[in-house]
Amino acid sequence: MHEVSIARQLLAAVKDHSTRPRGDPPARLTRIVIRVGELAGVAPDAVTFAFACLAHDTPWAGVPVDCETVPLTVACDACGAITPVVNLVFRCAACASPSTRIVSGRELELRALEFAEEELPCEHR
Amino acid sequence: MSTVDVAVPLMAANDAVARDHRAMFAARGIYALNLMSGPGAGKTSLLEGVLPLLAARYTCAVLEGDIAGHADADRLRGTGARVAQVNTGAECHLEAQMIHDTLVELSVRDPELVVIENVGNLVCPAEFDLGEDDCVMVLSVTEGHDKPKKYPLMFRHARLLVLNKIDLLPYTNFDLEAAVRDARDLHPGIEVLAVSCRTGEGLPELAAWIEERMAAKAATAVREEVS
Repeated sequence: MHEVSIARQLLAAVKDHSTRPRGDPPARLTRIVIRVGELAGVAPDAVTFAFACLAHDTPWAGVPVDCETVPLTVACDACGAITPVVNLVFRCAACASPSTRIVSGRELELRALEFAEEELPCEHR
Repeated sequence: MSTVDVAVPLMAANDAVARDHRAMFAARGIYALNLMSGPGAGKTSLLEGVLPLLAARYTCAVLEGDIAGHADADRLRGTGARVAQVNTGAECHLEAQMIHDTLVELSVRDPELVVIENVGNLVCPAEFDLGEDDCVMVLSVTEGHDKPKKYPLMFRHARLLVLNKIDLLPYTNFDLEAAVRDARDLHPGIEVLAVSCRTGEGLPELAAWIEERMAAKAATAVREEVS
């Protein structure tokens, strides 16, 4: 259950990006969007569940977390093609070379925050 | 309603500490190895077999990761390596900051080899960079040959796959060829060693593999010093 550690990082990042000048309540969030690569080794449902638990009793309680999945692709060292990885077999789909580098699919990030009001947190104005 | 793009990597805190470790290991020519497997695959037994071969010639430090207890650290005390136990409390994996704190506590003067024995788990440890040079993955015959397909990330990360308990091959339906083929689908360049901690088969080869990697690391450190 390393998703709890990740949800803790997510909550910290959400806090960082939704605070406003001293005294003001945090900007009201309506949606959190995360990006998770196919090979991030993370179960999105477990992250959203852990986030809901950790955010309980904070201003971010109940804010939905939506997940964008990023497909796993590799670039071929031999022919240069960028192709999807099918069934986790790391071979170039164009020329079958086993020598490839991961281009996408390892992402794990807080992508975007959606706020209810026009009044944005200070650093985004 | 307004949407703000932030694009904050969620592993940033861990990765920053791991980067510091990597820089420190590089500056001092230390070879660091992250030993991973499911529970009971034989990580500690492997170290019991291999460390005496290495500790006679090199200064070795071992960080033993477990959720609780110090049974594994106790087992390794006689091997000639300096050993520290890292208890994660509840976490099922080691994180870079835990390694940092334990390295400081261990205070080995100029270790040449640092082995980090991760918490026995086939999923979570793969997600956390500790600053190691290489990941070594142990899969034992009794776990079954289907593990690479079921737990891909860890096999993808490993430079070396150690197949342990091969003395038990005649008593199981473990398909060694299938295990290696599936691991190579995930990581075409993965190296494979078959060992038995029980009979000692393959242990000198594993020690030699580590020694070779240590020499390669030390050579890079010297080259950087000169240039």
